[in-house]
Amino acid sequence: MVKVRKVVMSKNHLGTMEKEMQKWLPYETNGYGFGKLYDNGVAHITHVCDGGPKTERASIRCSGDEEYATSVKEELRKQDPDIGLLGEFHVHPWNGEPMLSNGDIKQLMDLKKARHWQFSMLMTKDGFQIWDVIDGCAHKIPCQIVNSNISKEGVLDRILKVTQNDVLTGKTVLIVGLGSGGSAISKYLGCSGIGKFILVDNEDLEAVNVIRHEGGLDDIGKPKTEICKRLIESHNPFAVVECHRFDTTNEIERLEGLAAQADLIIGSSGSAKVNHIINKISLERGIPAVYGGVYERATGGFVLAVLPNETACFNCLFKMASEAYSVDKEAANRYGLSEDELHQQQGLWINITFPSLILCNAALDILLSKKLKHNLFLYDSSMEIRKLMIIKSEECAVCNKETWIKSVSETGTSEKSVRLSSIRQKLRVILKRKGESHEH
Amino acid sequence: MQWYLLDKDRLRAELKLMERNGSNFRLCKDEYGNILWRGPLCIHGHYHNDVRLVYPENFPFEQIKIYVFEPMLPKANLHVHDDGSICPMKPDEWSPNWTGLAMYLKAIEFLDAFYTGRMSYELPPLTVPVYPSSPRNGSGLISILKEAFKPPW
Repeated sequence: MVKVRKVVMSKNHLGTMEKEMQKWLPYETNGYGFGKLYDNGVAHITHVCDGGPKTERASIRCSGDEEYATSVKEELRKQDPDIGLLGEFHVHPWNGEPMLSNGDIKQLMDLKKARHWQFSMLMTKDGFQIWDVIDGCAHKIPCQIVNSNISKEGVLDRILKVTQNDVLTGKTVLIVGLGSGGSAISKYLGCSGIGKFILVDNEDLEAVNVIRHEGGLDDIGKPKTEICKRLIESHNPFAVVECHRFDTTNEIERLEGLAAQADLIIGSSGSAKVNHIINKISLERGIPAVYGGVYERATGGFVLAVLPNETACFNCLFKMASEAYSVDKEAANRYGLSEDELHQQQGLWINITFPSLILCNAALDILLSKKLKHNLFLYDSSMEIRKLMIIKSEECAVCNKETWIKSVSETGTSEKSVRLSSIRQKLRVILKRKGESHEH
Repeated sequence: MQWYLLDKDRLRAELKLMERNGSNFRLCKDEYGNILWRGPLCIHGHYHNDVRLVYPENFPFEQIKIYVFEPMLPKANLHVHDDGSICPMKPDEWSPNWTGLAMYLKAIEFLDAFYTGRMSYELPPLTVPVYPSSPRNGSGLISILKEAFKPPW
């Protein structure tokens, strides 16, 4: 049973409803909305009609003509068999918020017995709102009004042949962190035909962010989640986008709840602490994850794709990943900066976007169940991408916990776990062995 | 829910590591339900009667916090906080592979750097600690640290 999560309609259809309201003032009036309901919960209204000849109108009540609605639906189905009756529109010809009355709620509950997806589009002189009734309570349904009459096939026409759209429409992606990289990732994945996004970030856009974020000057002070939602929906209105603003390190259970709905988690926060939490959730629940980060003024970056219990997890690669967030003293000296200064994430957005695009590609491969040839991608500003396949580490306390616990219990020391080796040395070793198929 | 209620294997490993490597710290529980190691440390003649290694609720995904009390360290740099906690590593350096024992050693390392004046405004760089390369040899790091600082245990 598909639950309606979002309604897409054009300005023309809204205009038709307004004309109906003006036509029958001061009486209440109604009409019907027809269209398609997609698997991801998007209801697309493609046609709107009036209430029909048998509609009864009065100043505070109105009852529609169901027979007329059915005949219009049958007529529309001759053109496109997927079209159905989605909801009733309903005009309250007075000022104020468009709120359902108790009578409206009862009426909608009755209608939903026959058509569970049915919703109510309510208009007053001051506004428009779409409502659903769940367990006897009215709930708002988000509505995206688009400028012109569009179709899903039309919007996705240029990518239909390169993506398996029927697969991606049913997928949900959780993106944690919507900064420079995360905003670019949300845009490009949004343009891939993915059905649902859950966006998590706890910050507003600041002036200092604008130079390398999808949000612009007009967005300063707005939550980054809302900016990215608008961005995704402006490219693909047939995607459902949920926004959640909270600190993932303080509300791990909430993040777990959201991850349970996702087919893929993307760690784009730039925080190792957050990525460790995502790693835990990803492994416990068997949800694939992709992590990305940049280092040294974004002249280099990494993307790590994790298939739980198959490939290396974030913690297996921790030393490598940690370098992405903690620049070393040598690098700081080279740039004539203190470590703290360098750590303040200097770097051009161009250079941050490269690893973001690699991450998007890896994410799509996972969503389309393609076999991963590589799970670690290292990018540097010389436009070189090194691709590696990293196996699970025997010393990992997260994905190889039993072995690790046995090892530390037997040896009686966690010496290995405190040994700090340079990422550079580690990378050098890996790159030297590049020809081998499995390395870590 | 507290980690030690969910992950008994890890708790056992943590206890074993601390017991085997001979610290005189004992395991306690604080008013928030967090478990902690608590005991004295003497580094270069500076005696702290109450050093605490507090496991957070989300351990091992969150860092163990180190507190130095009795006496508290003077707030000589940014790595010593008002509440008595110290910052022995960058937050992003933490990994679930770190254990209570590792943090115990880190506390010793921190106090050594503090009392020998080697602690600068900046944190010790990640690449500096050079521990023995024989990872399976249990005596390695502990014995070197014990030798270096000659604590009273």
